Amino acid sequence: MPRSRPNLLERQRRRLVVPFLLPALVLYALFMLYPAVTTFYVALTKWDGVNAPEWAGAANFTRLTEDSLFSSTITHTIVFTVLGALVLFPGAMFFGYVTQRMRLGRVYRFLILAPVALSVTTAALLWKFLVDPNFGAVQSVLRAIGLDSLASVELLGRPSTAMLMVVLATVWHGIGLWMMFFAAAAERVPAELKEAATLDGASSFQVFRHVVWPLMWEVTRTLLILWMIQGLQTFAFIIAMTNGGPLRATEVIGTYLYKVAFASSEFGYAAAIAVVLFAAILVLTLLSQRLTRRESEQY
Amino acid sequence: MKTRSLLRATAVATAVMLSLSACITGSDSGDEPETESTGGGDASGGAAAEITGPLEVVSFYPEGSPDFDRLSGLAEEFESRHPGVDVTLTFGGGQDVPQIEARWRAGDPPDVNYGFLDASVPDGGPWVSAGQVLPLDDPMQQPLEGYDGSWEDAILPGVRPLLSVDDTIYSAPESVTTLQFFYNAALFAENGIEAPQTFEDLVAAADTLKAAGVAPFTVTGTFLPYLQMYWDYLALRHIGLEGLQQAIAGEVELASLPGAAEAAADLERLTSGGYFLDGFRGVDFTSAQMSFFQGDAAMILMGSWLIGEMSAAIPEGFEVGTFAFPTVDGGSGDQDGLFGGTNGQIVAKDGENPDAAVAWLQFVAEPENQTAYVQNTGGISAYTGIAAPEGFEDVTAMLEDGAAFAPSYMGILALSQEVQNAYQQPIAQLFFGEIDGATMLSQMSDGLQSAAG
Repeated sequence: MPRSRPNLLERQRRRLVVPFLLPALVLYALFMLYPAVTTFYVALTKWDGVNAPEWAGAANFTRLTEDSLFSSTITHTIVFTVLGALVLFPGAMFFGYVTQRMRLGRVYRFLILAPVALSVTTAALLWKFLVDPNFGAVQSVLRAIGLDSLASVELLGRPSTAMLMVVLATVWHGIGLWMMFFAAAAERVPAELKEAATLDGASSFQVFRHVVWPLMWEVTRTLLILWMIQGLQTFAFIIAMTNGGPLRATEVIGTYLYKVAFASSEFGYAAAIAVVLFAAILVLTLLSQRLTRRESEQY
Repeated sequence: MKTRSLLRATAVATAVMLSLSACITGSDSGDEPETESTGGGDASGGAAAEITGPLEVVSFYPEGSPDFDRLSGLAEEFESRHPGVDVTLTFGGGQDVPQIEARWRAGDPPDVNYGFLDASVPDGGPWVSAGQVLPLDDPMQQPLEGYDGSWEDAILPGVRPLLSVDDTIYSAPESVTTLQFFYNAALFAENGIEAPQTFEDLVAAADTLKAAGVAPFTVTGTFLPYLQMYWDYLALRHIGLEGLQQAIAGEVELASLPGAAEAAADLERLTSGGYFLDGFRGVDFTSAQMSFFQGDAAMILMGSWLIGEMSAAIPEGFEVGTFAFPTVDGGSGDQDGLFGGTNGQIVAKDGENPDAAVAWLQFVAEPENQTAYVQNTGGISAYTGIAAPEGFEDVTAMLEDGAAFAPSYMGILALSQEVQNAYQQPIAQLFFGEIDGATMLSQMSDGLQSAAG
């Protein structure tokens, strides 16, 4: 069926929208589209950041397939993202749900949210000094309670523990926000549904597991995707706490990209890494949106 | 109508693409710098002229630090000497270096820039090759106030080679940094230890300290260049600078060089001897330095900036001694060579005021300002005739004599990630007890060859 042509008034209304949208479109084009298009172009060149770029075609992408350092950063990035999700989501859900039911819930929420106000660098340095083997508070406490063998573990100096520490610091810093999202979602669940389940003899956990959580699924799903994007882009905590070490155990795509660009001045290659990261995030986001789709519960 | 829209869209797209290309290649446009000299181009080394206008100088340390305050004092004095000049100090050290580099890329560089733009690496880095760094050959041949000869003659002979690229001088030093051992003089005296002269002396001293319950060395395991220093020095002593540079460039196989196996074996002696402070793998460099000044470890291999950097944390009465990295018996390398840097300052050709920038560098080099620098910071002057700070008399004398002066960390921090990984990771693995010295050498050698393609 042929689409009907908008009438004159409708067309004039549409034209009227353009001048209002224009400033935002110009800013978007300048600060989002232009850098993105430039990155794609630079990825196809050999560029030291100073002299004119030389056209390199797909050479940077071919090099990526042979770069063992890059492939190890993919593994580490995935480990960070998965480990982070495993720590963050149960924690945020727990605090979000429990503080909603506690008498001083708002106070606890404020305390859990407080670290968000710290800059990432400050939070990272705080953790770094907390677990310092010579002067750190964690080690002092462990020694004070007689756990000397645990106190001698260099938490940021061992490949087996460094990633976990970075994940813990990242989650500690940001969990307050995620908790608030979950708390807001839990609050939207009608009280009568929870009361009905309680009257039917469900425990608090069962109420959460079978009533609250299913009704929060859409929020959980969105937050999972957001975390995945954040996890794949992780940079600041790692650069400040471990700089990718020890023995490259925490080298992720973000830190590797930074070093390739700003330490080695290989901007073309770094742009190729950025393009691959962008593509990976795009594909994984679409994939996870599709895989986690469920029929939404109506209430 | 449709055709017109299509044409309009094509025109817009073409304009966007052209502006993109212009922005990307803008750094190559070669625009002439604007200067505000009122008396002609003095940056070329001509007669002294009146200088006016703004001058932006990059400081390695941030506002509020003692060194920033020192520079602020110099800026005030410079302004009073040149009433038309207005000096602005901009922090551009550490993690802020990329911001300064971004300004260079955008065509808005500060006038005087700290030595982090690779102007002193052998190929001069991209800034020199792009013609964005002002050559200082002409002013370097002019007499410098307070010294007998020219500006170039006033600079320590050991430092001069690090200022040039292909026989053209591009940077002027303010100070010198050297890498050497610092030791706790009280702990050494208590245990009857003299400053070690040879590697065998060093191991013997470490054994004595360890037996007395004192950790001989402290080091950070989280900053690889500081672990690397031990290997660099042993390789310098056993192999020599030239061979090591060729191996890093992939021109020769490191493992096949005379002295390489001995250097690796000596490093293994240190790392497997239990000489390093417990927990070193997880401490950062500030913590490692603190543990030295707290008396938890007797020695630290560190840059000459250590005392100035940690001055606020050094306990009263703490006595520090220094000694150059010991020589090795039978080594075929440089026994008196030093690692260090020059803090070379470069002038941006496209800066607002290159004449004032050159005048600033000459002003900073004047004997009274150099002497004040040494007295206030404990740093080493890059100029002849300036008294060395206490504890650095020997290394300063070595630089006066023109000893081999190798760039800190072998200059690999500006090389590709493949090279850095090939060079540093085996060293870290040896320190962490995961491999032995021979494996470290073969991994490093193979890795460097592979990185060179």
